[in-house]
Amino acid sequence: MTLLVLDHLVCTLDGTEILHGVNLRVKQGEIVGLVGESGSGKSMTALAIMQLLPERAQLWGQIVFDGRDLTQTSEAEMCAIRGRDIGLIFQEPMTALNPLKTVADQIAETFMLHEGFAYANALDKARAAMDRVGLEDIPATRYPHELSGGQRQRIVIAMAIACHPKLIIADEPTSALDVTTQAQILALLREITRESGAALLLISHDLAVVASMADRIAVMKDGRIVEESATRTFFGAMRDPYARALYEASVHRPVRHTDTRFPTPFFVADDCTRLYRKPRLFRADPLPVRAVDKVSLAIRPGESVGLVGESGSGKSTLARALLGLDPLDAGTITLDGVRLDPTRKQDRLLLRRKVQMVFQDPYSSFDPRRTIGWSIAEALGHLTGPVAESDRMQRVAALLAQVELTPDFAARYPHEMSGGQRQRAAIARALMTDPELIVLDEPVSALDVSIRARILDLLAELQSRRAVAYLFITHDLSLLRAVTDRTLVMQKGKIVEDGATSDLLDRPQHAYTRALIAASPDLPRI
Amino acid sequence: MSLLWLLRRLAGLVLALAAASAVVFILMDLLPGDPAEIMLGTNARPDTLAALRAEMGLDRPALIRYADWALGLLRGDFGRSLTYSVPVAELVWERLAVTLPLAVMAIALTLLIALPLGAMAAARRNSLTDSTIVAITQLGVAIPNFWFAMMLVLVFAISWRWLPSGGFPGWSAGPSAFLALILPAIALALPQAAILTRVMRSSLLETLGEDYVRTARAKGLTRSEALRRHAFRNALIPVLTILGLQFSFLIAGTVVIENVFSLPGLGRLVFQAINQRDLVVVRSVVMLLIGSIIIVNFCVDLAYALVDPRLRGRA
Repeated sequence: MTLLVLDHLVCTLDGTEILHGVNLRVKQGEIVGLVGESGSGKSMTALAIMQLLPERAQLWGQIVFDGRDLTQTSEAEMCAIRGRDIGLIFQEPMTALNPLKTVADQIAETFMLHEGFAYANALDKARAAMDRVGLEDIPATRYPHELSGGQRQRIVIAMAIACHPKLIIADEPTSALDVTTQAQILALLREITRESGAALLLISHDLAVVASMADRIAVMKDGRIVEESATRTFFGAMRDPYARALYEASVHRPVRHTDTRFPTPFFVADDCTRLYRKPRLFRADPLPVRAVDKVSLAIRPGESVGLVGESGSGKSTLARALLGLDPLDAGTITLDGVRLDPTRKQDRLLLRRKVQMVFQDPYSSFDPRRTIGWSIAEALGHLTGPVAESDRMQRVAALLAQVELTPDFAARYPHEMSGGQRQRAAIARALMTDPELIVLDEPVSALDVSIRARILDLLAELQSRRAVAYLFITHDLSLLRAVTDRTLVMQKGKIVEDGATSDLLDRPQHAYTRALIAASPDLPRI
Repeated sequence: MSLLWLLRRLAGLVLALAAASAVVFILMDLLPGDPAEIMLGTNARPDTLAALRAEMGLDRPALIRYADWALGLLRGDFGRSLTYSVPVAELVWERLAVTLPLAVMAIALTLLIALPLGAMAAARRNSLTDSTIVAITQLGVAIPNFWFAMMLVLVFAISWRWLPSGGFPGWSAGPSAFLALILPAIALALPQAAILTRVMRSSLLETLGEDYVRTARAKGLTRSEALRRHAFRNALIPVLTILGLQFSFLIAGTVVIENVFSLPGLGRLVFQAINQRDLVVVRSVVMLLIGSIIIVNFCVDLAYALVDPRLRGRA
């Protein structure tokens, strides 16, 4: 039986049409995946169903849920439907919960609102709901900031399923989580929908995630559904060119060949250790945490090395130490045969010139009040001595050309560029000091798949042209396989596995590597 | 709230008070110019000057004088006023009976006006109510409080004769003492309330856009329920910060307002003591005012922790 029908849904925001007649059906107990890139109108569709669109928005068409048209339903009736008949799960678990209320209070609110429970009884029900989503060990009196991202997302799920809704809408429920947590949350969602018979509308930019969950897949582009079919037949029968392009971009591997011209490593880190002491009132903590514990690694020119590990395993701390941003507590770094002492300012500056970084979020890694050209050129003066203004402009233009941006981008501000253009600019900035090693921290995970494919091509091309080495920090195994020669697996500050990427992924030795591989959703090959 | 957290903040409080007392002492006693000479004027006879010097202990080393004064403050001994010839503590205690109720009334009024008005403006963003409130607060920020005080007197005391225009009958007079403080409290509170209304409005607008408010709506809460139960308390955090800062403006404001309304409060005492060059009184009362501002801001810190669990360390 059909539970939800979107019939020619048209939505405008400030007069601009953003949904151009969306048609979609969700049957009872069915999992429907809605896939599309940012700006395609997925989230707007979800908000339209909930009747929670911003006030500037206008809506035409029908949303028939359980036999009634929600566009004709009064706000008071909608308040009764939201949370009781339709549960909504959001993308960002870090901000989706009220920081000032305990998590149990926030779940209990749903029970009090829809099922008329008194506070004490509602708290009992909240406790049971927390147990249901796998938080048996978490006290009900915890505040959101005391939980991890995955635990918070479980709380949001507990809230959404509290009153056994007929429909659950999950808008990018796992995009902010790491791969292993993502797999757990997806498994929980699947289990809960199957068990309660609820339908699930799963919205995601990630085709692999949707393919692993949904009974049916719908692809959305520019406010329209362009392709829709059962998951079984979807990948064999894609007719729409955009759906095809999306699939191809998702499985894209840049053309690259392992550079074997330079057999000797130029960058060697030996027994690197970094301690974290918890500050105490009068003295340092006698038992410091070994955030990086005797890590050794060697990188050849032009080599691409992957670094994986769960959050908190010490990847970022290691990267900061390799960049010369943090001092080492023990160990040495040798660059081009010269042993560096990262406690000395001169050596740290040399490290920073030879080792550069590209961050995950290209928006927050640029100063919003400076032009892109200024940000790219900034390193010149600091790391390489004074440079004439005309020379500076020339070098910025040359670097922009290398990352396939026109020279006029130098005068733009970060907010005047798209995510892909910003990440190109971030790569140009890293190239400014002519580095031998670039550390890339999840460089494409914030980007849409089609842009991601082009950034990966760009990185591969730059590598073959400049023989620069890459250290890729990522959770994404398909990315590792596509762009790295060798992979290091890190856990609790130590490197627990090290080997050629294809060997390591096909024959993992360490339990953590195996868990990571099991957790990663994969797309079928066609 | 962990004990360690509290101890650390208490240590900060003591340090701040010590630093403030040192600065006050240096400014009043050590800077060039002889305090005794300042108090008596340049035409004073040498023997009077010497007598005053001896009385104030100016012949002793500065460090000893500072220690004497600071320890005296701790014991509640503020020295002896030269113009009034009574212990300063006695003077302060008497005047505090006016200024403290006045400050409390002004703060209460500020909150009573600012929180509901700010919330109303934010809840009805871009409506006529909102723009009216914004326009009024703009006016409130711009108008100087002494002028506003005079207008209040003109309207409520002189034309309509609802309230007394100034003076203070003493608490033994009962309700009329309370009535005497109403106009001064309004004059003190309104400019502060105007600022705080704007802070409340923008803070609430920001929290209303937060994800957790959307979560609350998705749970089935109405717009106003989501505002009351989820946005309001979150919006109070920046309001608290500003309120702590406003307290010092309020104290400075009492000097002006107590003079306009001829109230025998601390502000007026400082003003008169400065006029009469009674440095003993000035020094101690200034220290007292600074101390009260530091302590109020310490209380604001504690209030943060009460409002925001993220600032409480788990013991």
